[in-house]
Amino acid sequence: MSQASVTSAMTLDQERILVARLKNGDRSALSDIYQHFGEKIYREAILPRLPVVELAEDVLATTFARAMEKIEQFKIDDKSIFFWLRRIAINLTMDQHRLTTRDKKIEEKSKVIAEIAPQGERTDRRSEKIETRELVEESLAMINPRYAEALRLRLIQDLDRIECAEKLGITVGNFDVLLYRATKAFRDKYPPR
Amino acid sequence: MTIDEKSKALMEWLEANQGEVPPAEVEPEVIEAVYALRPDLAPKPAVDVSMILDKIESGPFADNKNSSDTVQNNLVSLAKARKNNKIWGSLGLFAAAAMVLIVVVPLKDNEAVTRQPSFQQEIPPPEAVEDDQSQLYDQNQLEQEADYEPLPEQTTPAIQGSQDAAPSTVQPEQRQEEPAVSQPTPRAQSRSASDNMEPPPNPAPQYEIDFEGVDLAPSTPSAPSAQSAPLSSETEIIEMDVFDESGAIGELGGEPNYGEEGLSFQGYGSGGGGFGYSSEGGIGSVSTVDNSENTSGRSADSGFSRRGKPQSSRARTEAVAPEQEDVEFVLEDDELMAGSENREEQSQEASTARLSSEELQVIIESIVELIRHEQFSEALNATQTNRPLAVHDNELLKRLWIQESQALTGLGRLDEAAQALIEAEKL
Repeated sequence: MSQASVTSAMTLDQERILVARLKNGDRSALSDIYQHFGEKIYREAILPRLPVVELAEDVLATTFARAMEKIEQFKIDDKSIFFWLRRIAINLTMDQHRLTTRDKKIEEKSKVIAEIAPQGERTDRRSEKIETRELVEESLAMINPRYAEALRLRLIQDLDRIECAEKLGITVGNFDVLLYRATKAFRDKYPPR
Repeated sequence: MTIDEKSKALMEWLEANQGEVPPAEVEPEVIEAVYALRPDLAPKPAVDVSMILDKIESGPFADNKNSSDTVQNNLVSLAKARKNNKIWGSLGLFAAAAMVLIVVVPLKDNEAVTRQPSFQQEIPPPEAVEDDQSQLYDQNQLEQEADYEPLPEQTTPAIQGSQDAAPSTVQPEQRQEEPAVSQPTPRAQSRSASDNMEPPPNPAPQYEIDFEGVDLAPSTPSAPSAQSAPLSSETEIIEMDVFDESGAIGELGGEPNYGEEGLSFQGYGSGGGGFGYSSEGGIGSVSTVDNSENTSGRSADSGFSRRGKPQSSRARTEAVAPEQEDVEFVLEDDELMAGSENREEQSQEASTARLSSEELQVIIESIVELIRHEQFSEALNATQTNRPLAVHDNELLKRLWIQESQALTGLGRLDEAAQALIEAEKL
């Protein structure tokens, strides 16, 4: 993914310099760190757990604001600042779930996700993908297998609708309806815990 | 919208480019599921650095926000500062006003109180009263003297000179009549009678009034009968010759009027410069007729010449010679001559005696004030001292007795107070 490439483009030494600038209150350093990690945090940490765009964007801005308020307490060793930002985002996502009464189930599941998630220094970008995939698979396991197969074929394997229809042995039109109902079922079960 | 249409819209949105806005027909739950499975399909977050900075409340970025915010905050701060200044200014004005009310106003009140005259200041002490009376006397005397223009100093030598070197100015008949005139006149008789009477009371010590040249005897209650009887019986007509400088003949008339209390002499002049003087207290009157220089005559006891001319009710002045400036006075006797040596002094004495009535009223009022403020000793002293000045005026004398009675009552001397009251009732 593009976000991964951006993040990987910055070495730890560069991140140390960036953090030093952030500690001095350099606004350009804030713009740089947001450009490098903002969208990644949004898409990989916030949006999968809080797929509501408006709420996810607010959590994203709050994540960087809280990080800048505590930037003097951050000590960069051999881990990227991304994992520190990701932990802040997940915590804020849980807080957002507490505030909204729309889906208490999601809030509870988010807590579970935060608890089982690897802690800051031990997590890396690969573990983040694994974590998210586990959550997805767990939810997929909770819905109709045909719905889960349609979601895997179309959204995870990224096949076109004709191939998906052929593999499922249905028409393209029926596949479209089947995918639509599968997404709604998945949303009801996601996050799984 | 049917599910086919919704599914078709979802397929079209999924096959479109990454990050496009999802169609409205697709339910949010479907979109959220897609975002959960494919976060990359979601549009970029609409978040920029300014939104992050707005959420920062502490740390290094909290003190380093953009300049516009800083300026705005400063403007707000300045407005607050102005508001605070107004508040403090108002408080300062209020404090100043309070100070004025607390400090200045009481000081002004104190000054006003101290400036208010006390009773002691309102009522002058007797010594001050005496001084004021003396000043009043002096002032009145000066006014009287201003009205009364005495003869020039050369008048007296001129008289003598006229007697010695200018006998032509006087008619021989007149000179021949001098011996007759030199006979004791009824007025002289009255004076001699008055000399036999009781001496007048002691004059007030605070007034330097010379009663020797003024006959106050008629003013005593018992004196009039002894004094006025001879005068009224003879109805003496006095004629005075006055030599006018301008040559105009002025008539100086004097009509003796013997009142209850003594001789009254009214004079009038037709020459334009005359004035009449009426004395109710037996004081000699003065009349003069002149255009340029006043000449004065005097009543009998003042020593001016008198010529008895029966059937004449006026004294006449004649200008015998225009060149002659002086007045010729024919003296009657040595006694009168001695009294007329200094006419200025005599006129002054007359003015003093006349003013005493007016001053006595002032003195009585002062005595009343003294009694009102319980200064009885001073009031008693004032009544006793000034009583001789009021012997010619029963009313004033009565008032003085009454005030003396009150003063004595205040001092506890009731017997004397009763006696003073009896004296007042007699009047």
